[in-house]
Amino acid sequence: MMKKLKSKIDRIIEYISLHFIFILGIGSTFLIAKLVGKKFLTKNHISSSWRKYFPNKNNSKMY
Amino acid sequence: MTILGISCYYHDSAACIIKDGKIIAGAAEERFTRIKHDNNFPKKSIEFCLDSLGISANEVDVISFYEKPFIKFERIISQHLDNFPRNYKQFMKTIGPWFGSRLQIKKTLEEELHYFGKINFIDHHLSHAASAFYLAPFNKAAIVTVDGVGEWSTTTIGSGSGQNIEIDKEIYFPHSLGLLYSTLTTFLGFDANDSEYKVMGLAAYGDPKPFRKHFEKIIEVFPDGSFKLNMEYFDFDWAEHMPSEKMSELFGHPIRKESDKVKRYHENIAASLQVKLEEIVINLLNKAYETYKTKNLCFAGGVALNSVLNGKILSNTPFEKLFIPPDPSDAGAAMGAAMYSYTQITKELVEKKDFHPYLGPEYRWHQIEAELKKYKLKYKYFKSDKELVAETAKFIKNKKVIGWFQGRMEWGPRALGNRSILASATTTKMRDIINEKVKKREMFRPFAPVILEEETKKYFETDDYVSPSARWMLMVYPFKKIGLKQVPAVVHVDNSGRLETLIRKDNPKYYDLVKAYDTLTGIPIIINTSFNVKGEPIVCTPDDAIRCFLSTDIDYLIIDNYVIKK
Ligand SMILES: [Fe+2]
Repeated sequence: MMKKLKSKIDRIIEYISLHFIFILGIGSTFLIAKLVGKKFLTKNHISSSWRKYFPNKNNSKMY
Repeated sequence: MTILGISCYYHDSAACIIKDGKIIAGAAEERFTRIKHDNNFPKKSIEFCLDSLGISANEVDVISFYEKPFIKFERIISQHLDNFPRNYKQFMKTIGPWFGSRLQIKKTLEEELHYFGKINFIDHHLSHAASAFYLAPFNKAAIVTVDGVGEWSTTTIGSGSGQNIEIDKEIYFPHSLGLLYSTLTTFLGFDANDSEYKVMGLAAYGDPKPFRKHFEKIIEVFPDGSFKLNMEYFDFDWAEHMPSEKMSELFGHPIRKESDKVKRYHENIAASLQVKLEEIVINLLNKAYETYKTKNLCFAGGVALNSVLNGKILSNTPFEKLFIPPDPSDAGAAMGAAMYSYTQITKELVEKKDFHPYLGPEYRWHQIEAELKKYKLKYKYFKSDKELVAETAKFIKNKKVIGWFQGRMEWGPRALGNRSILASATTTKMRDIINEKVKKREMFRPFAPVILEEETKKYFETDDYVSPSARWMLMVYPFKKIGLKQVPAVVHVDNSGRLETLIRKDNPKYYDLVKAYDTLTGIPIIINTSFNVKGEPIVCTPDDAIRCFLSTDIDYLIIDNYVIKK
């Protein structure tokens, strides 16, 4: 019973926090990016799609 | 030095374990959980890998993960930033798991496995590159990887020499050949990340000309081998569906629903797509050759599962040798990541001379007997393999459909004779019989021929060099006349076959079976299709095999040397 309740509460918290991130995090960054004209994906006109690859020497890092 | 490779959270989860340079075990999670393309944390695959060595997780020296999660997450957030607010639904649906587990690999490993040791995170395309180069039968090669998407990359070119792999250039999301193919797969009414091979099969029926021009609008190809998708035709960067409405307008046809009949224009679109893919990849490979000037090519990434394309590589590029690993897709990247870490740490290569893809679980006689008892099945046990294969060859000759379950399960998406359904290929009727009795799949899809390797050139128009990748059903070649006549059941509409070449060293019992059939009939080829029913993963355990046998009209189930008749 308690477990069920806990998972329900967790789901509600997740739902609220996702909306929070979506509206405040993504939304406001989107607005600023729009103002400065930044694009995050490469959809603009290009004549080659190649990029130089920079090897990531540190294997233990997640980034 | 023990290294565990893991791939998960995108399409197919898998694990693979290497000890002191030997690849010990590997399997995809879907086979254990029975959820097709299961992408959850591969706990069962990992347990199987650890059990193969009789060790606990903490005896593993390094866990090697097949991508860099934070870089992938950065790309996903970038997608959302570019597509606010229309991405609302997709954001709510997909972003939760990132905070839950996908960015918390360390915590997941601690909780699920009680593993507290070293973790490596290998670039996704480097994992793909390693999965090919470290198993290839040459020391120097150009390496090309093409998939849907990893972190940011969708395509890379580089080279390998000895223990070193160097990627030089990459193409970023959203410009992706894998995603192009998947988008058209869904446009044609099939599932993405699952049914691309159906589109490849369908393409052979179509005429590429009517839609050729349309594809020039969809994807732009640059002289340097790179390419760019016209994103007006795609919605996959922000929505769950992949093609945009504009794509329907362009083709003049709506998106096909699964229940709709496949029409001529579907075949033609598939044909155009396939030809376009081939043109772009061949162009890319020619550029790679100009850069690296080596005769050897390693090819990996999900697009390397396109066996029709693979069969055209050597004849359309200056490369003379080609190697694609048995699983070039994401599950296979678990092995690539493990091999990469092993080579980096020990400065030694993984043993590859005797490599074979039979790396999954196997079952002992008492386990098999227990299952047979559980289902109250009568069986005949053959003490000698020789008698068993002779008897089975007779069954096949008599047009019986055989469920053939032997030894260790295959690594990679194909059944290669240990979890296979086997049958005679001498009449086209056999195709209908197998479809009716077991597979119930789309009639346009061809069945694959398994052939004794030494007979390959007699039956197929191959390249001079037949890649070892043909042993893993990764090459399609045209049949010669003799094949068209003798084994029509495995001849596709364009007279090609996705062959599996067979050498005795890899799988003696399977080889001896095809050989025995050859002795009986003078034909060294039979049908090999995966042991499963539509919509299910390939069988893994004797229990899976028996359930499949009982729910279909397979005539004989042969598990190890136990023969069960329906
Ligand atoms: Fe991939």
